[in-house]
Amino acid sequence: MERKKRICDVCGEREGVITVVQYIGGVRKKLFVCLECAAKVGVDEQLADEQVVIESAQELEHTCPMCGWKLKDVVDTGMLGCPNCYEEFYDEVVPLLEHFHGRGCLKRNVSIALRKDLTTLQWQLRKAVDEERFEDAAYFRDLIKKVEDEIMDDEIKSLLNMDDDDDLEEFMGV
Amino acid sequence: MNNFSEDKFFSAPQWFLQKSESTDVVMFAEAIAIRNVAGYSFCLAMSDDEREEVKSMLVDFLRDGDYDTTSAKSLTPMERMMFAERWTISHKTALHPGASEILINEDESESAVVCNIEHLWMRTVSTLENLSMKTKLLLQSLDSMELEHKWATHPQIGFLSPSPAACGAGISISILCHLPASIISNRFARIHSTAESYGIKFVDPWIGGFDMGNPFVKFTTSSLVGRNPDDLLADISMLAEEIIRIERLAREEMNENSIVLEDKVMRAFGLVSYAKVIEMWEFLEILSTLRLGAVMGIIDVPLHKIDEMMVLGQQAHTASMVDDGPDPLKIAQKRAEMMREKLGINEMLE
Repeated sequence: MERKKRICDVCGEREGVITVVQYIGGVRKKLFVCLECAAKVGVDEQLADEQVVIESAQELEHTCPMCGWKLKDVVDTGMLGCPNCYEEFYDEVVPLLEHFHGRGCLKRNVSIALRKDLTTLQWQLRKAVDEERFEDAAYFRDLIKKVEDEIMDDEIKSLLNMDDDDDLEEFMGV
Repeated sequence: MNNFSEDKFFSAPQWFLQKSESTDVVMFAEAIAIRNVAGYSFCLAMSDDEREEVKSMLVDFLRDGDYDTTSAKSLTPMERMMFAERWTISHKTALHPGASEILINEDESESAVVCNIEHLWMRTVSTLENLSMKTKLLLQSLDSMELEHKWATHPQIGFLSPSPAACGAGISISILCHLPASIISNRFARIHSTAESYGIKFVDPWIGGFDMGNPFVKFTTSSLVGRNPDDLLADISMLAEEIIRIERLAREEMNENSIVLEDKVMRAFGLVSYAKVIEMWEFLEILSTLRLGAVMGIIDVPLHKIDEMMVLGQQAHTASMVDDGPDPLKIAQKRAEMMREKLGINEMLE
């Protein structure tokens, strides 16, 4: 299937081929730009189709007062300078943490536990079926259904940033 | 001061040769903990004075244990690579040791690196059966250190590291698996999806990338934020159980058509018997086939002999046995000789 063309968000004329993610004041903005406009901000043609993160020059000079590490150093090395950098560059670090540890990793206390339960139950179900313990298998099947429902509720809540069940019930029209 | 004896490089680490019920599939299990001292910059950004201060406080504490200590600088690049090939230090530390200190216990089952990427990198290895006990001992030792030095943590993230990938539980757990039958019978996709559901990635046992054809696969917990060591241990144990089940089932199925399996193993044995050079790219494949043959009782070679070859046949280990410089052809020739010697083929041919 032919890929749908997207117009450059900067010049509005040519085809946008590079995704540029820009952080300004901790706010993430995603742009599709053409090769010519990308070249103006120093993005190489070879990076077409890659996602490129660019910070404004001012943002890159943002410095951690404890260790002197700059945001530019974080971008260059992928490393932080000291424990305080995690507070200082929090907005920039969160996407990195989510990339390595999974989306929503910072607030997954509930869903991770549930997912783990689900994997364990699926494994127990498979074992029960293999060993022809069909009563146990039915029990695990029912539990799996219950946990899957809880995970779905949990995911909807985190997507909508709802903190309690009342909000969810209202949203679901219950 | 370098306290290491060069003789140790002529044999595989003792811990690696220990066998248990699961070693036919899970060759070993490893826990690596990382810690950084609160109130100090991480290694990349710290001043020389800070580095010396952190180094001396951590090394002093660790020296009270059963470790031999050496400065990474006093090791030659070849020695560092050999330690990486023995999984004693990471490949990254071997390549870029900086001003770090390396501490290794006598049987190399425990090691620590101070002030390389992390302030403290500590590793323990064991059989799968002993993993939980060894991990708890490692964590206890870190807890006792914390009475003197507070570790850097963040309320939402957990233990902090200069690398966001290593933050979280402060520990990662790995298993090295031998999966020839699962790969041949196309069951690896199932293992892959199970691993993925636990947030576990698979990597090359030494460098970290992954070669799809390599039957030796290291599974490592990679999703660490919001997790604790017990979660990770439980995940790895369940994954290991599933991997063992799948691999043994695949081996049983292969054995049903035993002539094909026997042919494969005997071809590998014949190749080692007569080949004059064995390059690195074919080494692991031959070794894997021989190991499968030994496990299935097709060839009468003890498993520990084959596992020893897995270490001694690595590039730096073999290069160190070549007298006149690291010529690639001579290294490949030495590897072939070493394999024949370990398998007792020279005596058989005489």
